Amino acid sequence: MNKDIIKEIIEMAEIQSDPRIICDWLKQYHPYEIAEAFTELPEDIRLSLYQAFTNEDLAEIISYIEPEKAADFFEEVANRQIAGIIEEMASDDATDILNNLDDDKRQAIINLLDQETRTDIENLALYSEDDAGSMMTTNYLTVESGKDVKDIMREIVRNAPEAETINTTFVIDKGGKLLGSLDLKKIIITKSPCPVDNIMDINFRYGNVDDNKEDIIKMIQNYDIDVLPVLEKGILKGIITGDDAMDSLVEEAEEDYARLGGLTESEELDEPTMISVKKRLPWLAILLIMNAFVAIIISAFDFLFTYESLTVLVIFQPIILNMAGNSGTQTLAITIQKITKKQLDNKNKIRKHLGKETIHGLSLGLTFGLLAFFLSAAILFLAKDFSIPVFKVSFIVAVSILISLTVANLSGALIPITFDKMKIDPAAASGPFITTVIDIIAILIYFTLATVLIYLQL
Amino acid sequence: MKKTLDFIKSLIKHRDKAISKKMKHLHPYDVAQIFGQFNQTERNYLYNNLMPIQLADILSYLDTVHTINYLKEIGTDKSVPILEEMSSDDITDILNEIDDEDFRAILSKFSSESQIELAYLRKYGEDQVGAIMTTNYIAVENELDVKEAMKILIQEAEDSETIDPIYITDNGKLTGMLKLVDLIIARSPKKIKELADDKIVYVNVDDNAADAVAKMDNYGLSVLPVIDQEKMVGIITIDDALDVMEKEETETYGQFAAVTIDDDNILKGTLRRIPWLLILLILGIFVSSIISVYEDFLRQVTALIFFQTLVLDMVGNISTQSLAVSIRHLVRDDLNTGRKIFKHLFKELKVSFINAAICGLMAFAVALLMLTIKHVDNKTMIALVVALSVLVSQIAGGLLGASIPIIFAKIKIDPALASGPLITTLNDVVAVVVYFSLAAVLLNLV
Repeated sequence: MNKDIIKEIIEMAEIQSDPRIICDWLKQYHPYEIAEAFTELPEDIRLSLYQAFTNEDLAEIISYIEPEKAADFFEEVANRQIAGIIEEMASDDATDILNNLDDDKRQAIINLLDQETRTDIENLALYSEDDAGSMMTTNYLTVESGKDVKDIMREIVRNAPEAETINTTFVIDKGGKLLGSLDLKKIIITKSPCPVDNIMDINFRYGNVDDNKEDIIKMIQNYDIDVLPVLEKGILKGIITGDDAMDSLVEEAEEDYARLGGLTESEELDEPTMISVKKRLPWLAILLIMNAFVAIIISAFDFLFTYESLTVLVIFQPIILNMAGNSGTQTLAITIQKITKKQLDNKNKIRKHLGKETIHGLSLGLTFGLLAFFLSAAILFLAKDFSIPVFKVSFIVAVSILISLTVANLSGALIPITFDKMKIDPAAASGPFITTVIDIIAILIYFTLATVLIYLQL
Repeated sequence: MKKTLDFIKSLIKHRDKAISKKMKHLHPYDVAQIFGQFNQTERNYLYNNLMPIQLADILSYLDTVHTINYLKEIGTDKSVPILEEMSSDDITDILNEIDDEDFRAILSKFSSESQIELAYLRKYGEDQVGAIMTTNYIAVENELDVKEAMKILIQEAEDSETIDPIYITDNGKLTGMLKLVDLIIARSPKKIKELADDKIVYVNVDDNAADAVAKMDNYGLSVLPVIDQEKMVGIITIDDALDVMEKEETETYGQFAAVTIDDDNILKGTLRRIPWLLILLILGIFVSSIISVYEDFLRQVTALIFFQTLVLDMVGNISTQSLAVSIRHLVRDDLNTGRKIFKHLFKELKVSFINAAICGLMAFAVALLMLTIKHVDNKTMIALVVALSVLVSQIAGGLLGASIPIIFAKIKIDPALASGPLITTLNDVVAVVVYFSLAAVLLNLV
């Protein structure tokens, strides 16, 4: 569908000199679809559309575009118009985009904003990115205590276009202190006259501006909250809605996922190549250094390879490393998820989890050690190289798999837990990182066994 | 938590007649969290003294398995009023889990209208829209006058999950929606269809639930209407969407590491991991046999052994990164046109090339340093073999990691599974062949 819109816009632009006509035609689409098309359009057509759409329309369309991308588009628009667009946006969306602009441009735009929007945005900017304050919006409905239900109705009708949601109206006192919340359904079915205080729910859930984002999302999820009021010292400061929680949930999950894959941050589809390089290179560089250690360890065992028959050990090395590495990554993924979901929040649970993973490793190690023993013996036997101590080499491969799988599972669980205890994000322990740590251990085990069982007895 | 438990226990102990009223300020989620800590007598007291709607709220926050056990304690007759208070998606979850005989027994107690509805909802699998939607919504016919519509709204508001927007139908067929505010300010006489917004986003009842939730996320909707052959049959609300989303994210995350996240049973957990490792072992033997072809090279230049793991690992690492990026794009349906796929792969090629070049340079320095310390002959050439191998096979590994999940998706195999043994093995094969071929050429090995 998207592809057709783009094609049609381009065709229309060729024959139609008035972009306003394109705009009118585009309005049959949902702003999300227009936003999708926007990112794919040639720059000149986009520029003409900025002129033809109202700021209100643009605000709506841009709120569906990733903040980083939206900031790029703002490079194409005059600061005055940007200020006009920002004034029409929800304050949390506006803040996200402004944070992606460079300092000079941001300040220039903020100076052009009307007083109300500027205060909202400056207030939101005070909260750190992990705090509930940074994800709330200030476009909500309030009514003062003592008013009649009819007044709420009036308030809703007047402010609905700007409000993020009309499902809940908040009852506050003169100082802005939150007293209760009012469900839209209740307002609709209540007959006037009736003071709002009589029908408001005083048993509402709320968050504080400095609460942790993840805790807020959990609360919204657990209690099935549509609209969560956010307070600072009892004063209502903003709201967080279910779809904000959904966005955050996706964002968090994407970060965790990206890190498991060894990226420092998750990537967008059309971000510049060098940005992606920057997100991937740090881990690659660290891993290369770690692999240099692997090389050093192997070279320390070079005496083994003075015997021609022992180069055969190198052949089986990838099997041991791959199996241990992959098994360790599985445990890692499970452990990180458990930490994120707060299922490992006391010593007892941690001990149980570590024990379980060790048993996993042991039983997998036994199974595959045994299997690998017969497989490698068969291969060596078929090779008919009689200088190779078939039994001993197979035995070493088998025992290495047994020990490596056990250690791999244990460290896959232990490392993220240790990170978490040291207040490092456990997701920083990526799959590639764990794999390399396990490689170092597995190689030490493999070649030490070979030294003891074969080299020292030759 | 403890406070809530003690509070309720003391109410029960004193046989407090007002328990239903006194528990009203507690959130059903909190009560559900501690529900398992009541004993049979205490539970019976709650069953007998709370209102059906209170029990319904509490039970819908529990895992379905537990809910069913409690409903069995309550008995079929008393369960029906409780079930009637639940929203239709929660009932469906429960009815999907109980066996057919119990299902029929319970169903027969419902009104015939509900019977038809529940039988209909039970048709859908848990990953389909039908299983997560609720039928408690408000729809008005487009020929109605705004005044009549308002009357319907006021009547049905209590039983509806949301009243904004209101959906508009034409003989049951979904034709548009209406913001509540517009209805409030409209003056009679005016027909509903004059106010309708026909720009409407919807899903089909048999669509994939996760896709529907992704749609809600993209379009920024807190309610999504569901249709069955054009007729409106339900809505998905944001709280249900959040649950689906979380489940989906957990699954994708687990699949990337080829593991099911919740394997609480040790034996089951072990068994589940076996097939995957078994494939890896067998494919590993294949890699081994390729290396054995080159075993002679290893005997001639022992130093090649030192760096084999480095080359293999670095290819695996870059490949895992590309894989993670590609799967993520696939899950988000970012790669829905040939042009986007081409653009994405071309970018992956560029990113891999730059990173491979930098890693190659670093590998050269590392190898040269080590070989110098170890006094190995021909050190520059060996270091060059290592560096070029990292460069060439990392580019290949990056492309494999980016493209294989896309190919899997095209042939309708879950791309997250591609992360497993296949890519690992392909990477190893590429790396080994490149490494030893370069060694043969640059070090004149035969």
